[in-house]
Amino acid sequence: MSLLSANNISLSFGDNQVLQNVSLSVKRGEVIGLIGPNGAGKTSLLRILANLQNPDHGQVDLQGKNLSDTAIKQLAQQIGYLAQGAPAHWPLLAEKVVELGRLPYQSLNQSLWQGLNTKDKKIIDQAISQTEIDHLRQRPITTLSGGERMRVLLARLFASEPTLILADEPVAALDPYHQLHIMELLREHAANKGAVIVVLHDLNLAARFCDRLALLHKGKIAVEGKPALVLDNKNLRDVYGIEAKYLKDDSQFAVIPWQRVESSN
Amino acid sequence: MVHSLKIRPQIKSSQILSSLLVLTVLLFLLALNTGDADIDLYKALLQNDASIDQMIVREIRLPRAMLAILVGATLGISGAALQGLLRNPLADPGLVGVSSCSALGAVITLYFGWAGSVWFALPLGGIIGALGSVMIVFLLAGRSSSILSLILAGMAINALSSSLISLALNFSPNPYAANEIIYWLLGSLSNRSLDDVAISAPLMIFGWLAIISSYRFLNALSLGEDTARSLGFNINHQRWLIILGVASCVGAAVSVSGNIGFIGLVVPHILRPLVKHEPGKLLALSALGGAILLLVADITVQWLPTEKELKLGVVTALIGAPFFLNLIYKQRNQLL
Repeated sequence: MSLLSANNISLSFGDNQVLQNVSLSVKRGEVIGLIGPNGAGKTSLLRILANLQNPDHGQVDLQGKNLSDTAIKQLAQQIGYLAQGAPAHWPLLAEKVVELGRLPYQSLNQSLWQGLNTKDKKIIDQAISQTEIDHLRQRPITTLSGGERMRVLLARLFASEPTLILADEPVAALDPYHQLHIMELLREHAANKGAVIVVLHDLNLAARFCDRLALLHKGKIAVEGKPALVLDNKNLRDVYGIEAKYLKDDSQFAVIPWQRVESSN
Repeated sequence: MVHSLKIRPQIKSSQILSSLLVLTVLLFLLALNTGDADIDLYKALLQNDASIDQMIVREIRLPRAMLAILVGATLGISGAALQGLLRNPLADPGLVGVSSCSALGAVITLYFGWAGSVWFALPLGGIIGALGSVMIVFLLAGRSSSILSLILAGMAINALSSSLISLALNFSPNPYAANEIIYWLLGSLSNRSLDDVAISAPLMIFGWLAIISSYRFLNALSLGEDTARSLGFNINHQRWLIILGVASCVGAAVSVSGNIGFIGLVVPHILRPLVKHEPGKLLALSALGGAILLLVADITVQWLPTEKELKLGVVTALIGAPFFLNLIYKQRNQLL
């Protein structure tokens, strides 16, 4: 059974049809990449999957149960959402940011009077060592570099112990080292804890780390499947309006976006 | 600031909280001991002899000191709550229009002379005004309002209520009524009774509890609305809980004390670094900080050898405004 499945999702804002009959499912152990040009509907789809936005039509099931029938706190324990742009509005200490990940498991009384229990602390320490941010614990998050900040936010996500992680452009604006690090951590999560759906712009990272890709175009899934299938020249030309060059060996391949095509829609 | 955080030993927020609590109690006692008459406070408080001293303390000083704590705490906690909700260090009860609309409600009762005829008319007017402002915000900004539309709605309400207050002053039937309105608007805690405490305290405490119950939500909101929602919070419920809490306690506070500005703005600003910028922990701290600041200000106006006692709102503004300007100047690079 799939962990999460979205069926015939449609969404529009006024006259603007953002998503049209989109269906997508993810199984345990999988990393799925949502790719597509700017404005294709990737973030909207991810927000619907995270129950942050209600679709006009269609429904999303988590382990066979409709999202809107599931208690919001229970959802918070199962779905972890990493927002686009990694917002942080106050200079909270990195450690405190990670602690926020335990909120879905705490009552108001516990937060006010008792604080974190031993189990919470253990899980937080684990998340911190997994993301290698131990040395950043006492640093305000606003003073961290982009890569450090994303690792802190990822630790926050891991601290919530979600089954499914939905990450919106987690590697945008990161250096190659951190891009690989973040993608490895997501891959690791899928292997050990559940599954990941990740919005990406970098086609190579998508090809390298995702089991399947869904290529969104104008609110529809243009093509879905193995990276090598999705990222062929025809699809890239039709959807992105680009031509690519490929580096292939037996099991892996890389895509180099090469030039724009005149006849792009 | 980053460096000083590292060098300083870790102070627990519970320690800060308890020291502020002790300070509040000490200032409360000092406030009871402050006034024109020379009174043996110990005797007046603990011996039930119906003496004049006892009457002065119980009827005049006690309500005044209690209101300083209640109103100060309300302004402090509301400022912290709104700054957390709007994720903007410049927010305060004035911003969403609650203070001004509450003032309008009270001004209407003064204008029509109801305030003189029934003792609870003025507080009631203030509370109705505050609730009215919340309802207008609700109508304008809608159930799933964005922060921006909320701020705009607050601005609109502020503009409307201040123009209506000016209108009332303009058309005031006699100079005495206008005077009364202006004096009340300046903000003061003198000549209040235990009845004023009794009618306003429950609403203020209700507001505090509503605000405190959003402790976790305000922390989660540090990472943005989507993240807060994904952490299991119903954004709309939580947002309106805070707004209703603020409306209830600020409405009650403004109606008994008039307009006392800057406390909701300055207190959370000063205390925020002590709790490492955690919005939830800042709430209780700002309540005590507000109480302390208002007690100090109210004791000061009584001590100052002015011919006529200075209005509390004037003093808080005189101290608060330059202080705040200085804060903005220092932190101008960090502000949006």
